[in-house]
Amino acid sequence: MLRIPFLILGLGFGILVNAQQDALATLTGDGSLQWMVVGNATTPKCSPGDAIYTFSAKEVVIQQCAEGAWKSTKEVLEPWSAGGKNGIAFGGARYEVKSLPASAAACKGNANCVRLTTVPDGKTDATRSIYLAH
Amino acid sequence: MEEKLPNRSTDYSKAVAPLLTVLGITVGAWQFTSQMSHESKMEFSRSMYTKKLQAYEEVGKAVGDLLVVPHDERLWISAEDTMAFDSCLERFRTCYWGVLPLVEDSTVEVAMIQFKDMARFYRRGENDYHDLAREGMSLMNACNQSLENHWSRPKKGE
Repeated sequence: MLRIPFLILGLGFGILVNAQQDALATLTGDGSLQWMVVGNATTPKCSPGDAIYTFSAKEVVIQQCAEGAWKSTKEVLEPWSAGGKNGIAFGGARYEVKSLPASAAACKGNANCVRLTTVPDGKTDATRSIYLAH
Repeated sequence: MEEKLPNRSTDYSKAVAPLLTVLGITVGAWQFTSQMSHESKMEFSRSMYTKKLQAYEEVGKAVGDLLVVPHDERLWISAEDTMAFDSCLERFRTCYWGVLPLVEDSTVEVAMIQFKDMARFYRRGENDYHDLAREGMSLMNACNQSLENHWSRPKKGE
C-alpha cells in the first residue's frame, strides 16, 4: 500500500540530490577544478578585480588580487535547494550555477564557461554575477 | 411611637438604575469605537488590496509583453526582437521601481528581482526562452499567493 508514496518520495529525493550534485559537479569536475574570472589579466602581475576560484567537494579557495598580489581565502562550500531551484553556497551567499555556451558575450570565447548568480537575500535588490572559465 | 424603617430594596434599585445606565452607555460607546476602528482597518486593508491588485495586473501585463516579444517563442532572442524586448523591459523596470515598492511583499520582491535578472540574461543570449517563461510564471504565482495571503495574514503594523 505504501510502496507508491515511498517510491514517489524516493524519486523526488533522488532528483533533488542529483540536481544539487549537478551544480557541484560542474564546478568541481568530480575532483577539484580551478576557475578564473573571465577577463582576468594574463600578465604575471594581477589587476584589481582578478580572482581565481578553486572548487572542491567541501570548500572553495578564493584568490583575489590586492595591490598587485594574490591574496588567498578559504570558504566552506555547501549545496542548497529551495523552491525548485538549487546551487551552491559559500561566503554567506547562495549562488545559482549555469553553464554557458562559448558564444555568450560574457564568456569572451571561453569554451568552459559558467555563471554564478547570487540569489536575492531580501536585504538588497542587487544580485551579483560572476563569470568563470577554466 | 413606631419608627418607620427605610425600604432597603427601594434604596438599592435607586442606586443600581443609574449605574446600569452609565454601564450601558460605556459599553455602547466602547462597541461603537471598536466597530469604527475595525471598519477603518478593513477599509485600509481593502484599499491596499485594490492597489496591490492593480500593481500586480500592471506587472502581469509587463511580463506578458516581454514573453510575447520573441516571435514563435523562439529559444534564443533574435536580432529583430531586441528593440521591442528592450522597450518592454523598460516598462517592467518602471513597474519594479515605481509601482511595486509601495505594495509588494518579500516573496514578490524576490520573484521580481529574479525575473528582471533572467530577462537581462535572455537578452544577452545566456539563458533561453524556457528559463524566461519559467521565471515569469514564478513571478505571477508569487503575486497570486500575495493576494491570497492579504486577507489571511495581517501585516505588522496594520
